[in-house]
Amino acid sequence: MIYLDDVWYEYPNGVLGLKGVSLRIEGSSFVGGSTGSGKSTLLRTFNGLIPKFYGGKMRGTVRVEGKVFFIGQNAEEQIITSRVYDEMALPLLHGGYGIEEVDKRVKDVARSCGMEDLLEMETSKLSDGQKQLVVIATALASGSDILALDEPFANLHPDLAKRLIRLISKRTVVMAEHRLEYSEFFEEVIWMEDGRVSEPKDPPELECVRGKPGEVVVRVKDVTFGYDRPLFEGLSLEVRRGEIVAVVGRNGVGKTTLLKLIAGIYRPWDGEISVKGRVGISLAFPNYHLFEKEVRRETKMLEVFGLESLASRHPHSLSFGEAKRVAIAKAFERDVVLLDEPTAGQDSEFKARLLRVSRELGRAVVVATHDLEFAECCDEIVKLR
Amino acid sequence: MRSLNYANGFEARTCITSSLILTLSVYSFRIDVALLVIALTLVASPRKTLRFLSITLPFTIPFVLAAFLLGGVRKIPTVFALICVGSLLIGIQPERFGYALMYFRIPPRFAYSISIAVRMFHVLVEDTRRIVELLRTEKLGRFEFVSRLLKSLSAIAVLRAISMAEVLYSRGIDLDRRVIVCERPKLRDYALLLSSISILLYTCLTRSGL
Repeated sequence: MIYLDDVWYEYPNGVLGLKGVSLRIEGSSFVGGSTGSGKSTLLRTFNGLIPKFYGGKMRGTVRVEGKVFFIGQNAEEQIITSRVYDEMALPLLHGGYGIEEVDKRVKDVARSCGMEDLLEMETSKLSDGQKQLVVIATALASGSDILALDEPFANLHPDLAKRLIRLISKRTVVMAEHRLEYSEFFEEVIWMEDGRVSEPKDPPELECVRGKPGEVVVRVKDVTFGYDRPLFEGLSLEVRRGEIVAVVGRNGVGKTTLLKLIAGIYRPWDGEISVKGRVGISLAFPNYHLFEKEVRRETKMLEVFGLESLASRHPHSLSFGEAKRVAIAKAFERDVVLLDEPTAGQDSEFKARLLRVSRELGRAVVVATHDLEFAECCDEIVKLR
Repeated sequence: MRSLNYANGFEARTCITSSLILTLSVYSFRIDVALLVIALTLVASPRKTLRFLSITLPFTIPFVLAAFLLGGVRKIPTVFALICVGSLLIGIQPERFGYALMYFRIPPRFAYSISIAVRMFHVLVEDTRRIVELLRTEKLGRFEFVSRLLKSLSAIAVLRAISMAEVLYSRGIDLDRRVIVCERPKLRDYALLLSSISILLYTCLTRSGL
């Protein structure tokens, strides 16, 4: 059980994260709300990360009965060991479980999550989605009483996400998420708005703005590529100026790899890729793209994406969602824009803006995504198998 | 203490012990001992040893040249032997390394610190590779390329350290808790250990003239 009574929290930079939150959580709860509404802040109070780790000022009462396992938004930063098996075993070993029990639990959870084949893999070789899966499986295996999950399914295929939600929703779990379709699996829905608990709201429906495609600027012809084995063979794709193409498919199928091929990071084993104009790419982990001292020095597109309020911030002080927005804005400075999971950690307002800006600027955009609602608004959907 | 299901490779305690023993032997600065050590590591893990030797070439080539020009040719096999011994440690998974240190009664906090540092090194190597990949798409001049790489990498290193600390805290990892999980030594582990001891004995006995 989690009990919060009149909790106020102010970040060290003076921003108020929570404004008098009172809650009682038993069973499974879904936390919704727009970006910056306080969902992540709320979750971090459950295991003391706020204020012990983040500092700042907090008042009010937070009472938690049981051990909390918290998962942050960015799976890339959540993995601490070099092998999947060890990752899942570590919290159990520190929880005092015996080796046989650890081994049994790890294998049972891997089986129930459909990831037995990942157990022996090095964590650095996993795709972003697979990393997210490993982190969730670690939480499930950990034996913790309460799971606090901050947008854990942003990089996962919806079918897999639903399968995992069915597994986690049997426990005491609090999950913050933008995709409201998952809320039906939870006993309770908590809605956050401007640091307060408010009445649940239906977010505005994503308005699909259609564009007028121009000349072909990206041509992928009969491309074969893979790592240890071929990921795709004879893949062909054309993207026109002003067109948005969504690349979808289950985790590890090669969506990010396709973006990297178009960007010229990898060379195809066979076939041709031609790109007219300069390429801007935004990977799932946004911090790779940010290196200046201030956000305003990173990109001139802040206004276009409504990010003026972040201009004076250090890029690495931003939240995951904010950093992602800046990285996306930066990619839009180029003619061909490649976006890896751009809607992860983003509310529907930003998704709508992303579609609108793509149309207005007439960029050729390729989006690797699991967000099927967003994909539906693109001009073409390429499904990798 | 029982074993967890580990991937292939030498068991961590064996690697650490053998490395220490072989290092002691190498410091006799004898060519025959150095050659024996190089041969042993090449037999034990040929791919890893050769890879490590090739990685360290930018350092070893100037050393070899300097040794020929300024003297100290006899030290060359010793340096290569030490690099080969290092290759035994390089391939150990950071967690296994930490557990093995705790087995040898090293204080847990110190063992975890080393384990995490090694893990962070691996993560940063991966980060460097990805940043370089991204920067190559931008057609930058050499100076700007290096400058951007350093800027990105230093920022990412700080972020990684913070997120690692946050995750350790979040998962309730107690850095003072001694967790010993080691693989059962296999025949090849015993063979490596016995070979290392044999080389040390050979070094001691032939040096003392027995």
